[in-house]
Amino acid sequence: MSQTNVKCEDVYRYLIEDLDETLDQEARTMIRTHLGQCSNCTSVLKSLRKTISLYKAMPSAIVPASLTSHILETIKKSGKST
Amino acid sequence: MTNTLSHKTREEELIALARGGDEASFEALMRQHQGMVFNFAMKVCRDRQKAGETLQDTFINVYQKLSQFDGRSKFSTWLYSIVTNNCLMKRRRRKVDDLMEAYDELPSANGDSEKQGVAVNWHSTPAQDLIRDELKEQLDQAILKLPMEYRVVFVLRDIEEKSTDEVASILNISVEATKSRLRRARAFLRQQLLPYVSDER
Repeated sequence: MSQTNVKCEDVYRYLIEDLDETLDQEARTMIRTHLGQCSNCTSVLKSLRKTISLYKAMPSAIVPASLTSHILETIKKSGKST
Repeated sequence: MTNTLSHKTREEELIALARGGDEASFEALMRQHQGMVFNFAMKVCRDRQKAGETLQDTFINVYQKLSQFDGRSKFSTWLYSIVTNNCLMKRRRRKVDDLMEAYDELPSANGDSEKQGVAVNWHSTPAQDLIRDELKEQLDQAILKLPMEYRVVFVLRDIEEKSTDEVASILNISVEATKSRLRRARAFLRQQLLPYVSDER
């Protein structure tokens, strides 16, 4: 893909698939150049990153001790019956 | 900090003993990994009750199938494939690929949104609690609309930060199929959450 005349459609697939993390140098340069000139693609990339970061921010949950005991009991019973 | 090598050896030892019927080793193995399984299920199901059921189903499967674990993949990869499969079993069957194809198309930055950006801050202050609660509700609703095949790829790749190769291996699908589902899942969620993630300017 040539660096000139790069279209948003060409960049989009790279953008959404890799978020420019796993691309080779040539593709990365092409995308960076395009992003420097295209506010639409820059906004899309920002909003994609923000979407992911919102989901990542979900706090961890702790397994209730009673649930662990219940599961272990269930497994022990099933083990004895088979 | 746990030494990686000794940690792995200890895990292998627990697996071998649990396989031989040692209940204490099975319990230790379960306690070591139950947090990962429960949290993954919470991120996928967005519901404590369902996450609890998934945790139970997963460790019953582990108990029954531990002899089939051959050690060629990481134990965590094997475990992820079981919990993912349990999540997939809960899905409603429908022609999901047809529904999701639209998300291959290039969107405009803000044009597909009626609302504009809403300031969101996870650091809780009383004034922002309502916005935060509303956002959590929106995040839940958006991801629950995503077909399960796509949801598990998004959670594994983007939240759990597994590599594309490992996600493909966990789901037993091709790398290309993994990328395609990830692409559509990201585009779908972005569109659903556009009022919260688009630029204000």
